[in-house]
Amino acid sequence: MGGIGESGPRTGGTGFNPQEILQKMRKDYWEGLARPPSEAHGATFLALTFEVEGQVYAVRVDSVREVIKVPPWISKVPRSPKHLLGIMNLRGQIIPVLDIRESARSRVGEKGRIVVFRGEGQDIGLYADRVVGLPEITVSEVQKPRGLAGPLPAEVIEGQVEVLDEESGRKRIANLVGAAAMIRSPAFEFREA
Amino acid sequence: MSGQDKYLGIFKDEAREHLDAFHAGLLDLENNPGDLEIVKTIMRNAHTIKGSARMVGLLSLGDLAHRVEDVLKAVQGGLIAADTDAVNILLGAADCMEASVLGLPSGGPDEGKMKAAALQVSAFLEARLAAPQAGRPEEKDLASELSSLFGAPAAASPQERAARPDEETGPAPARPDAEAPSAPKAPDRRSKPTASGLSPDTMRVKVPKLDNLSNLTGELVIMKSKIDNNLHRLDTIMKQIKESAARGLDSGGGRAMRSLTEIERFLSEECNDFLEQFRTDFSFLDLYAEEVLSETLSLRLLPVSTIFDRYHRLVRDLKQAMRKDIRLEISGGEILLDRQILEEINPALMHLIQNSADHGIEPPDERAAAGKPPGGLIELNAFHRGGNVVIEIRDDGRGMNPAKLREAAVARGFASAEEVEGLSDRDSLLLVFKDGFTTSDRVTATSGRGVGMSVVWEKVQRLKGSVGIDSRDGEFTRIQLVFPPAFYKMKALLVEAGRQLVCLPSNFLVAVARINPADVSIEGRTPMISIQGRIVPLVDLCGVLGLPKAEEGGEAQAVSDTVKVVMARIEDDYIGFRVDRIHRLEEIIVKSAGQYFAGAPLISGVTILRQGDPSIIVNIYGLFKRIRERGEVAFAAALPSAAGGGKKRVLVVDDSITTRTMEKSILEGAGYEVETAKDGEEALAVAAGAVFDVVVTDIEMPGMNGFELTKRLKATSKCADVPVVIVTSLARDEDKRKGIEVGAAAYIVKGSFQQKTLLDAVRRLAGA
Repeated sequence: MGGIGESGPRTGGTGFNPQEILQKMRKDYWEGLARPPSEAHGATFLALTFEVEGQVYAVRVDSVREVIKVPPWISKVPRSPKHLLGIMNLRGQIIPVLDIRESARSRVGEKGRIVVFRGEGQDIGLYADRVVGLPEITVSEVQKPRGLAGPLPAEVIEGQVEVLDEESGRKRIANLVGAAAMIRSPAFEFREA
Repeated sequence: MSGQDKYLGIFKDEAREHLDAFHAGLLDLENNPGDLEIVKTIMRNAHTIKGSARMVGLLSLGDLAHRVEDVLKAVQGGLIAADTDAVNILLGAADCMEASVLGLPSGGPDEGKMKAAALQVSAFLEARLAAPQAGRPEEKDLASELSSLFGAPAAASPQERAARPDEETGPAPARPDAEAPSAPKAPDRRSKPTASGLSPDTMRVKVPKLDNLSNLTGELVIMKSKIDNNLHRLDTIMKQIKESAARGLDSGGGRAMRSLTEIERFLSEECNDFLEQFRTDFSFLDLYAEEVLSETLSLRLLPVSTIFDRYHRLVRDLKQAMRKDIRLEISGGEILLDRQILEEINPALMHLIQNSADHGIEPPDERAAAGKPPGGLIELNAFHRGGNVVIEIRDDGRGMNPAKLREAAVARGFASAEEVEGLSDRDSLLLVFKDGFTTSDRVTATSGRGVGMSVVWEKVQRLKGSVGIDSRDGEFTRIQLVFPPAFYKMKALLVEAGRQLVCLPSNFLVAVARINPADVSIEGRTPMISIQGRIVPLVDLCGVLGLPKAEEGGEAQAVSDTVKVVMARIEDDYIGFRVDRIHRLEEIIVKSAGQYFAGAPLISGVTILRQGDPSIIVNIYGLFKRIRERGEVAFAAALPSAAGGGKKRVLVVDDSITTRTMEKSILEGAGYEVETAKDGEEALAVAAGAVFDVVVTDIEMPGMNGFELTKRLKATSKCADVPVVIVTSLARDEDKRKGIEVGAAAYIVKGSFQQKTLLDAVRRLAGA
């Protein structure tokens, strides 16, 4: 298409109405804003991907506070529900750690990590068997979740997206998890057992 | 705009500091009207506020401060007197300034109010200057003055006004440009969200304190790099060792070491040196870390004068409203208390002071009739007692009459006549803390509604404090509020429950004991033990908390293993908690577990132990509640003093006459009554016909052996609870285990048999 020379505004030129162009720019701008973000062509975000019991999950990087090695001591909490692994000390702050594994709970693999989600007033950790990667995900490639398997309730999964597992070189389907939804989800709240 | 906000924030802090000083100075001035030094000081405060306000563009505030300065100048020049009217006007202006400062940086001053206040101050000054010394109010003016002071004829209480922050009545807001009123009018008292003078999210810290903290932090960073150096050094040592190993002992080349001795010498020198250095560095690190911690924690502590000093103004206003002569004396203002406690008790203290002023202190004529000085005295003291901070409010007013309180309690349906019958005078005083309780027939604007005291009670309870009350009819009332000095700290017993350490708050604990397993009796489904003359249910802490069990040897515990019990108490309920290990009593720092655990009734908080691991602080209330609700245990009362004063009886069973006689004489020598049996059958028969406190038996006997005997004894209802001591030459673990399985309480191996061992076991089991 034409470069600036042909289509751009010329100072004092004829056949151009700068007013019109400005108006169109403004219109495009507002329309762009009005469009839902998923339709915004080419928009991307950075995600952290991790694996739990063979399933890959993705979470937006800006909702992850940090990823740490599993600390040597995670204290059990009295009468805690089975999804709560315990509490850990993250530089003086007490963080509850969730564990969505169905079995072998409390066993920690060598690559085991705690992904700390940033929440409103309460950060929360999630045990992951390993971190998969840090891919850039194109918004338009996130699909509606089809047939959810696994331990996470529907309200926590925003969608599914194909990501590359660099370790195996394979493409895998990741469940995109909403950190805030996860923290708020009744499925993970503290209920006395 | 954040830049502007920043300046406004700074201005806010500065202005508040000056306003506080201005306030205090004014009250001081009222008591010492001729003291020009005070005038000079508070003039400087006003002047500074004026200048800074203008700098940040708060012109109306600057203008008001300017006019205040004018009034003070007139006082300084002797043109007008610093009397109550003048002080009223100036206090009003100070309130107005404070209200507008408090809204910063988001909300600016209310221009209308500021302007009105400024006009009023000027009008007052003009009126005074026009008629020097004539402005002094006569007695008759007082009523109108008061009504203007307090807005309405039915004078609303100062506290009420403080409680309605929105109804800032400022100087005549309805008529912002009202003409100067002839009677001096003081604007409303401070009306702001926290009358405590503490702002909710920010706090001021003394600069030296911050300096100290930064210094300490700096030291910590230095220590970090020192430890880093040590690590490098360790690396080097390791490398050198590896190199010599690689070159071999006989290479003879270069720096390789030739002999084991050489390597040894090198290692011990280097390592010693290293260790020494490391230890020194570590001890410094330890020291700095502790200091940073305590300094940081102490940032939360504030002197109680932060809130106390403001009560001078409260009392002054109350005095005027009630037309009583009241003096407030404060001591112990320097005592430190957690800022959160200060913030929360402020309304309670205001209420108590108000109560004292209204109900406590009598009107002057009544005091005169009682032979008391006309002026009443309210004393507000803070002091330390037994590690707690006590805040005491005492007034020398009419006191309380316990009999009248009891009457009122019955008359108003708080208690039945019978209930009240049994109350001591001291306990009767506590009736005033009941919700809705009042003896006052009149409900004044300030008090007498009977809600306040119960609120005080609740507040203090919630802050984990306690309330004491003491009074003598006609003489005084004294109320003491007792607080832990800083409630983010507590003493807790660290115990092992299953595989982890948990903290039990020590203020609920009454005893720690090691109990022989045989002393655990079973009543129904509940194991019971006796501690300090009290039979209490024994609950497994790990089990009730639902924590994973410790996974060691299980049943293979030696006979000597005792049950570790921590006895906790809430009012009249006692429970013994079985723990896996008792560690230490420690001062712990309480952290909130976070909102995730809002619904977890068994946790009262979390602490981080020295090793950096988090540990749960058990909510003892929640624990008792859970145990009670699940009907797992019956709560036991005190044990009726141990049965009889007679001798304890022991049955000795052994097929060897030597052993029988020996054991018999040992036990009789220790004051026991002893019966003997030569085998199992005979023992069963003897046991059926008499009562024994302990049975001592051999294992290898003809016919029924000791295991069988024990099992059979335990099966009878009569002897099920009689502890059995096994004395045998069978020393194998398998035999010991079997002994425990059949229910023996102690297992003594003959090879190691000593008088004392037997006596100790019997004594322990027989309970004497």
